[in-house]
Formats: sequence, C-alpha cells, structure tokens
Amino acid sequence: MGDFKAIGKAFVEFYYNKFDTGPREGVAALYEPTNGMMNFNSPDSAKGAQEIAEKLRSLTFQAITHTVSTMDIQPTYDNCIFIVITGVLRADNDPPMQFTETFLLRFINNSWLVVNNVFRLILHG
Amino acid sequence: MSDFKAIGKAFIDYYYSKFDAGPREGVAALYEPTNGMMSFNNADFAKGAQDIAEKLRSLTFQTISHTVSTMDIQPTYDNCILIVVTGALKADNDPPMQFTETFLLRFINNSWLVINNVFRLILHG
Repeated sequence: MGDFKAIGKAFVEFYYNKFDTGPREGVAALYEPTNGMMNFNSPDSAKGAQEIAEKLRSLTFQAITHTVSTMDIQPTYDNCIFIVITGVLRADNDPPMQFTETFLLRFINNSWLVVNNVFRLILHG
Repeated sequence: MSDFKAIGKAFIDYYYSKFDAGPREGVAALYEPTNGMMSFNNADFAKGAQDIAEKLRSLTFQTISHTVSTMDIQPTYDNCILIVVTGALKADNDPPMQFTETFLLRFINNSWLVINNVFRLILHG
C-alpha cells in the first residue's frame, strides 16, 4: 500500500474541510454506516452513522476551524490506514484549544471509510 | 469483545510501567515482532521489534515517568483494540510535557501485541 500516506492526508483534509464548512453532522457519511465508531472527548462511543450524526448535532458550538500541526500515518496489518493528528481548533469566539484525533480507515465498497475515530481536547494544567 | 476496555487498560498500565521502570527498549517485546510499527514524535516509523528497540535506545533521556490523563478504548472491525491516551510525562529534570499516544492491539499467538503505535508530544504556542 505505497500510497497510504497520500490517501490518509487527502482523507483528513476532506474530513476537516467538510466538518468546518458545516453542517458538521455531514461527516457521519464518511463513517462505516453500521459499525463505525466515534468518541468525541468522552470515553463513551457513538456507533453507526445515525448515532454519530446525532452526537455531532448535539455539540454546542456553531462555527469551528481545525488546523493540523502533525499528521502521522501508518498502514496496518490488514490494509487499513491508521492516522494520528495533533492540532489546534477554534470554536466560536473561544480561545484556541489543542486537540488530538485518531482515525482508522478501511476500504469498503470502493471508499475509504472511518471504522474507528477518537477525538480529545488537550487541556492544560 | 465486551472486556476490551479492561484489556486495554491493563495493557496501558503494563506498557508504561515497563517503559518507566526501564530499560525502555524492553517494551519492544510487546510489539508484533515483524510488522509492529512505532512512530516516536516523528512522521517516520520503526518496523519490527528490532527496529523499535533500536529507536527506543536512541532516545536521549535517562529516566521518564508517564501519567495518564485520559484513555479512550474502542473495539475494531476485526477484533483489535484501539486505545488513545493523553497525559503528561517527565523526562530527567525537564519540565513536564503533555503527550498523546495511540495503540492498536491485536490478539496474536495468545497475547495482545501492538501492531501500530504513534507517540506525539503536544507542544505549546
């Protein structure tokens, strides 16, 4: 899988672009519809595109922009793509916050879909 | 895999305990020996237990201690375990630094082994 880095990079750019442009629940379509999992700053998981869309809709910010600082990409045992991002986000008029986000992508039905995703804010102090 | 959270937590406790007690290259034995991958604060990755042990040996700190702040654990499509950790570490006499670390574990030959791992320091400013 020589181009896993290119695929990973393109996916992340598309994901954040779609998320930031809004409506953010549109990114639910990028997850495996039944089994895709997302944790958003919580140990609890939303599972499946519908739950993921609901979780995203329930978040309280209006506008958001993500800026990627680092993006580390590895191929996995079974031809998935493993991506770990660190960066900064700005939501509404709040001060910038650092975050880390991990994606596991799998090629299903001709698309790279998210099978696992974890987002965490990095809180200081 | 209803006990994936317990397995993940036990793995993390063991990994950092072994890493911090030293010698740190001992954790290379917890990776899949041929295909296990590790990125340590870098876009490049070491592959296989030998490469990983060398990379760990080449790091310049003597002592280190990891403190976990958050640990988010998900089962994956093919019965692997994804773990995303955020926390703080102290190396030698340096000020504490925040980090994020992600592990993908797979059950191989009766053990949970790391097949993918990315470590990143969270730098401020």
